[in-house]
Amino acid sequence: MRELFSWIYRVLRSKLLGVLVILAMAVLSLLGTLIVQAPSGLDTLARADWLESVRPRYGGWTSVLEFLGLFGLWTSPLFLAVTALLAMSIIACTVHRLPQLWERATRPRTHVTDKFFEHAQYRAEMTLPLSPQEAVGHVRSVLGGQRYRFLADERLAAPAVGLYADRFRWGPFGTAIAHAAMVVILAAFGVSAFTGFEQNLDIAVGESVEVGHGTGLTVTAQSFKDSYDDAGRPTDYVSHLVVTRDGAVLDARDVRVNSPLVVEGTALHQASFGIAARIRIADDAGATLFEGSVPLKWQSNDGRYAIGKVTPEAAGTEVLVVTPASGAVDAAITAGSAVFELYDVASGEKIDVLPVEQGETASGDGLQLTFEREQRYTGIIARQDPGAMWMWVGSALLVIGMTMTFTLRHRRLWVRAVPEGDHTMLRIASAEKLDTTFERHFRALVEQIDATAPVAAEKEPVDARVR
Amino acid sequence: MLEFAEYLVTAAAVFVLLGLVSGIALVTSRRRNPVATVSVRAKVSVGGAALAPAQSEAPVQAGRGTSLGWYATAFQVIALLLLTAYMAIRMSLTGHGPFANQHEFAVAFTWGILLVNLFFGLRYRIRMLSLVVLPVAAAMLVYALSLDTGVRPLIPALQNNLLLTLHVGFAIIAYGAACVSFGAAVLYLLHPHITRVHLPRQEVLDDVGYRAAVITFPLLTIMIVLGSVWASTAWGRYWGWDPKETAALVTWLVYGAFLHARVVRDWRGTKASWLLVIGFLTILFAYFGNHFFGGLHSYA
Repeated sequence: MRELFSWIYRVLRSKLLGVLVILAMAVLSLLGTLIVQAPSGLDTLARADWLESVRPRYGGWTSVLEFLGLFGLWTSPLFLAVTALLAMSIIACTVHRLPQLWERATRPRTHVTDKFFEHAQYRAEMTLPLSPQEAVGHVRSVLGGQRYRFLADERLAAPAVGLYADRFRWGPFGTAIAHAAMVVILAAFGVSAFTGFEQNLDIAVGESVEVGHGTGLTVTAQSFKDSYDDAGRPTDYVSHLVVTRDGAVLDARDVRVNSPLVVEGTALHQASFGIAARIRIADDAGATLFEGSVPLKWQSNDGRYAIGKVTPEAAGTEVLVVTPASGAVDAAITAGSAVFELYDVASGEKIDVLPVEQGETASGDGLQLTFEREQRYTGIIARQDPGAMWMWVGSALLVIGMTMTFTLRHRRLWVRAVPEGDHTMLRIASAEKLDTTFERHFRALVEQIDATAPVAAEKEPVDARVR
Repeated sequence: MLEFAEYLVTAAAVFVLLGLVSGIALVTSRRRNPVATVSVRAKVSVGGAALAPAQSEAPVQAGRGTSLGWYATAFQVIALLLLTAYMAIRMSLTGHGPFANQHEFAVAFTWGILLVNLFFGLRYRIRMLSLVVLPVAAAMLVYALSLDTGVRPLIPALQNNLLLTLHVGFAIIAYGAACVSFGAAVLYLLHPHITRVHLPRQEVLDDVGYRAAVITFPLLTIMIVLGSVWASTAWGRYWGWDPKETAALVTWLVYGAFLHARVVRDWRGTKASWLLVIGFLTILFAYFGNHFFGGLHSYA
């Protein structure tokens, strides 16, 4: 069992797996962008209708794409599995790397062999008319100006003098922070998905709607106004909302797309607007089953009719309210009138079709249906999202981690001064990977060390080479 | 005023092309120009190369090559200044950052490309990048001029001057850096096939591509984070798998994969260059996607 876990850990912390999972996520995301995604929350019938609506576009591939879950990619098992794998890979890599980073930052290897100075990626040597102690002291003064820290090479035998120098040793921890940030962000998605709520509130002007979800909040839309420029482009959507609890006003203000109203952690966003039909539905005994505004949110396939629907409580009947769409001059329903279509909820069969004029009542399937008038409604999204806070924490950590990683690169140098006659051979080396930025930095350091080397009496620098 | 301002874009396009022509002339004349000798004390060898004079800066070229190089840079600077003036004029007319539609973003995109290209040209002294980068900049300007250049009021979703400026501002610098990394990657890939022109060493091109991607990736990250903040404010959710959001995520993932492959697998050379080419293509896909994406970003 231990071997199994060890193997799983090795696989998860594999850098190759990390790159492959990132690329897999990129490919899946690209597919999700190119392939139309089905709206969430569709029931089986609505899903079938939606599939038919995209069949002309995808032809014979429609069924294949549906089978593979590519029409609902963001909630598909494949995408969730890749996301989970990515999270585990990040955690494993970070856990594996942290001890190495800590070791390198706090207990670096201060001693290297002579061969290191002959084979390191970056190496320099120069002969200075100084003692080894003086030469290393000079190097320290130059490197100190570049924010290097120093540790003496204790293993080196006198009279040679050695030094380890580095700067930004905490910089590599930026990768751990950035990777932890990714896990926080993935967790934030989970928190957002499984906690809080999002509720669409279609509120007719002058009417009130309860937010629900235990908030006790009621939202009243006192007004809604949409404005347009001369070319017909929208310039403003604004609802004046009043939020109350048990009749007490908690807040009231204009809500625009970029100016939501936030009350006790519930944000109210301006999302849409439209026309609603105010209707009343009663049973044969005159008891009111529904009274209010039905948003005409859908359009018929030919675009000629606006449609709203309501299912009165305990009636077993779904009522569709159909009116002519705005600007549709060829609709079979005259402006100012409506048609009620009644459907059996259980079987989905159409029961009756009842045309009515404004203010009239029609009867069918044991119901009295009154079309009172058309009026405007404003579409508000009420949302509580505890995951958002974690998203911002993760995002901030990500930016901090990246900034540390890319701007505070850990730079390490080894310095050795060995007497050569009455001079000192000074060697400097680094095992950094090939990197033009570091190359320039290294060359500049060497030049500065050479150029500013103190000149002892009657002793001049005789040679300075970087190799 | 606006009509006058559009002449600035046209003039900028001309100067970009002049910069390109100067760059081509510089490349074709380089072999005939002697390299000035510089007196140095020390000798240098990095990565196992033979000893050579130690010098922190590249050799200075004399004669016609230097002059052409100066012109190539000067033309780019003039184009950048012209675009800066154009963007400032549009800002003064609209009261918001000039990033609200495809025309404005195309101009800003070019501005970002020129800025980062000049930075790399001066810092790394590699003017060859312009041979790939400037045609992209010129094409973006031609595209910008082909679009509706009129000033329109912001639609309600975009009426957030601070986030509009920051979100798109980070994008244009990130995209500009991506174009430079693309230029370095293309030159790297073409290097073995171009023998008549003296290109920079392949490892230098490889490193410049990496350096530019190191600028691209954090800026893309900040751009996406700011977009999330804005989406949370305007639409009530920080992420909604909108096609434009997802395209930006794809771009981020590709550059993330590149940097991971580079840092932990030491991917260099051809494979890394192809990833940078793919990365820039995903950026173009995200940018031009407004024409066919639909969704909440379809207004531009």
